[in-house]
Amino acid sequence: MDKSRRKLLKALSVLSATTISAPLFAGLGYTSPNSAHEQFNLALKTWQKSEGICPASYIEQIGINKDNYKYIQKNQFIAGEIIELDGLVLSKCEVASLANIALIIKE
Amino acid sequence: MIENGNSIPEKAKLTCQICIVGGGVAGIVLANELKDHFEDIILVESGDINYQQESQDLYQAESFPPPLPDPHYARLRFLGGSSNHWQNNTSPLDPIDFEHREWVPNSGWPISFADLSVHYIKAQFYCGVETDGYQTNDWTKRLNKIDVVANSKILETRITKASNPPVHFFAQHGQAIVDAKNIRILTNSNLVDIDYDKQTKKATSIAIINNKGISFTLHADTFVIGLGGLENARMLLAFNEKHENKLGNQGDKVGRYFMEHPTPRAAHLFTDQPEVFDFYQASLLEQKYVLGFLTLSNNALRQNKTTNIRMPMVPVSEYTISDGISSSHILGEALSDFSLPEGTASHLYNIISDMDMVLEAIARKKFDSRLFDGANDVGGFEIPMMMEQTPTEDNRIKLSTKRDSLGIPKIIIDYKISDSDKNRLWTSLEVAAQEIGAQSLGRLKLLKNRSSRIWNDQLGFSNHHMGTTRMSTTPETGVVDSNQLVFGTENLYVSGSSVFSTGGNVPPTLTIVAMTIRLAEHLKNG
Repeated sequence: MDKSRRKLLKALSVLSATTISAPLFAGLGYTSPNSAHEQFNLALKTWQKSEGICPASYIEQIGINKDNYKYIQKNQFIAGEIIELDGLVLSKCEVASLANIALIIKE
Repeated sequence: MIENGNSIPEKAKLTCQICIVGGGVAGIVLANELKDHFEDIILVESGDINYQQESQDLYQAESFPPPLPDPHYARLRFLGGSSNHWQNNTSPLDPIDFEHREWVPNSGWPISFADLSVHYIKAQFYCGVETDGYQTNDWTKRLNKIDVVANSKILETRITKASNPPVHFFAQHGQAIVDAKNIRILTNSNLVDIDYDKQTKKATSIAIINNKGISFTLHADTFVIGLGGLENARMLLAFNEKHENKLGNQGDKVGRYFMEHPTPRAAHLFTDQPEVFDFYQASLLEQKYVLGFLTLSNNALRQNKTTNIRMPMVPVSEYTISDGISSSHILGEALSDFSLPEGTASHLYNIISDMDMVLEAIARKKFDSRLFDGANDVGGFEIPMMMEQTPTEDNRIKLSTKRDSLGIPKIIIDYKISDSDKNRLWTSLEVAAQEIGAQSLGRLKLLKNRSSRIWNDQLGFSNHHMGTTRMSTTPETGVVDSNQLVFGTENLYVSGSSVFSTGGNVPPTLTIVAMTIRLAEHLKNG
């Protein structure tokens, strides 16, 4: 099974499970689960807990773009500028990017 | 020659210069090393040439705490011992393993890596992996592969070599001692007692019962006990009950500091360039497998005050590393107790977003068929790491009031992995995760949210029993001295991984062999 088929199956299963099992999540602080969306939200929550700057401003501040993002990510890991997202260890700029997407979706 | 101990007459009194008790790795290596130096050696083995259930059953423990594997079958009790089922992975300990590290309680050996390094060379020969060393640079050149952390000061690549076909020590090295005219190998002969002279501080004889229940004695100038990490402690504890703790138990240390190598599956590596980890997959070269594994450098261990981990890289499918499958187990287990696990919402999220994998798992389990076949997709690397465990007094072998068929008390194992060791594992992984990102190798995910499973039903062990007759500088802190001589005695030695002061993060057999060669040198030098 190739990756794209897995992604499709994943999306369908999330959609159907969400519809069927939404009542189960009531009271658990867990509403409308959506695969990618939840990850973005987790990044946003984690970012807001630890950083005093909005993600978009941070991204602008460090001047990240498609040419230098790998270089910046690497250097952030070297400098220990990392954030753990549900166990996944990411550079700050990666988490800022995910958090920024969450904000864009909300808007 | 091999002599069946069942044919020895009742009350026979055998004599020799050197008596080796135990025909496993240590005993076979020691006999080989001593055969050209002493005129008269007897090697005593409880089992036979092949597996016998009757002998194996003498390994039954009274109790052991799951998930620690049952010691009844973790070992093998016949000539060759547990080398008859070992995985053949060999790596030397690291210099830092021998040092006292103030952040690791009870660390520090009375010998250094330098004391052992020369013996590691010959030890490779015994383990069937040639004497071509473990230098990472040499192996990357020979195999034309890449050390992915060659430029790192935090992570290092180290080498594992494993013989192919596997080396079973008696099959491989037994013939030389069978042919030696000055060596008698007594099979079916069980050590049950020892006579010790308080005045001379010498063991004078041992009592043996053969598998027909006939007893005889064996007198020697020097005795070496090499029965394995659990039995060495068991027999010394039994002897000390009779001899007022004068045989290495002056400080109540016999049986304590028991260590294993837990193998928690606590992290996954995600990378978009799995091919660069080729050096970390086994390469067959002549008659051995060679592969790299990642560890923290000595400097990183010092700076972060943590213990080491051996991180092999096992490519796995998305199915294998599915968070959803793991979460469904955690949730299912909790619901069966009418409770909800910590992070319930997160587990539900994992299940739903990995629903295809969960459904596949159900299909495989319930209907014995594949639904989606996600098992073929490489999803990343699983890291079944081998972690160093801190030696602690409370992890110990004790004697039960229940006895085996020979009248020897069975063992009770008290054992747990301390919270501080678990915390050190996470620290080591956090350090590794940062450096893996800094080296642009991928991203490490620490599976902290699976802790309830990682440290329970998913926890693996290596069947490496270490530390129960630990080497130290004084009887207050250990059982044997730097020459493996039992404190309080002049002629009773212990060989095997029970003398390890700390266990490191690599399989112990190569070190057992190296230390046995060193012991042989000591005995030869009188």
